[in-house]
Amino acid sequence: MNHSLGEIFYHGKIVNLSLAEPQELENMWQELEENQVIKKEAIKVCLNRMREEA
Amino acid sequence: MSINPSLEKELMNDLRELNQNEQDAIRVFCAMYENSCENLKNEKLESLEKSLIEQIKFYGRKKNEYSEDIRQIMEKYGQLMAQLLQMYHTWLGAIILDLQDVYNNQKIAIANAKISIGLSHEGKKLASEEKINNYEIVAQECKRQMADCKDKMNSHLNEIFYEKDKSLSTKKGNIFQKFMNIFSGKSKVNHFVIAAMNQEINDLEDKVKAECENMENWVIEQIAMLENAILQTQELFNNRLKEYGYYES
Repeated sequence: MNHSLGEIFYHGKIVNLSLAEPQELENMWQELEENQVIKKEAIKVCLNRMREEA
Repeated sequence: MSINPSLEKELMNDLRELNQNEQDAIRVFCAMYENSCENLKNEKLESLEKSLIEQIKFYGRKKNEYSEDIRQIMEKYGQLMAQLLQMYHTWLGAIILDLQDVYNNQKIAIANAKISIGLSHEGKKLASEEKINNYEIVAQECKRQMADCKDKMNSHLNEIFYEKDKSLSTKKGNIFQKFMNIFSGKSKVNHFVIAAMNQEINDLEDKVKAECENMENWVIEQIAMLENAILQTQELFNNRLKEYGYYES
């Protein structure tokens, strides 16, 4: 790689994206995408609970 | 009506984590994309160099005699690949800007839904929830285009800059040819290898230029589609608010 892609904090450790293996990146990306779905579902549940309690 | 503070805190934490997650995913995707570009470029350049050296050797010459020619050819070849890749970088950059916009707007809609619950504005809450879902559709389209950009970049580069060493039929010289190369090898390398490759690069220049021009319009259409979807989402939200009686029409 010609330049640094930076780092992310992933599973309790710092990952240098320029040094990560392609498969490692692919797995990270899949997991981050899946986590977004889970997080958005949690937000919906939270809003529903707010409405029920309000 | 007040909102339970612990739920409010939970929502803020979820939003913060979601934001981090989205930003990390974008960065990881960019790393995957850049890896792909770099690997392809390097493969093509190595393949070209290998092909040139094999041909030079076939005519009984040494690669050192042509190192400057090889360097110049590879430099031009690399520049042409970079020119085509630039179109894809531009496309990906524009998609990511739109995706960031969608993510931000979606979080604002979530915050608005929460405020509407607190104020018991059921209509505003419903309109905000619809907006959240519509932004989700646009976000998925942004991600589809990101994947499409990476795949198309890969296949386009492979189509135009095919691997030279694999396309070259192996020439095996017999003793007589090797003998003749002593006298004519130099002119043959100049004619059949260096000049031929320079001609191929000239043709590639025209091809890359035409491909970039075609792609430019296509990329503009793709991005316009995303930007229109973002505008439509906002417009739909405003119309819903009017329907629920929040705005004067």
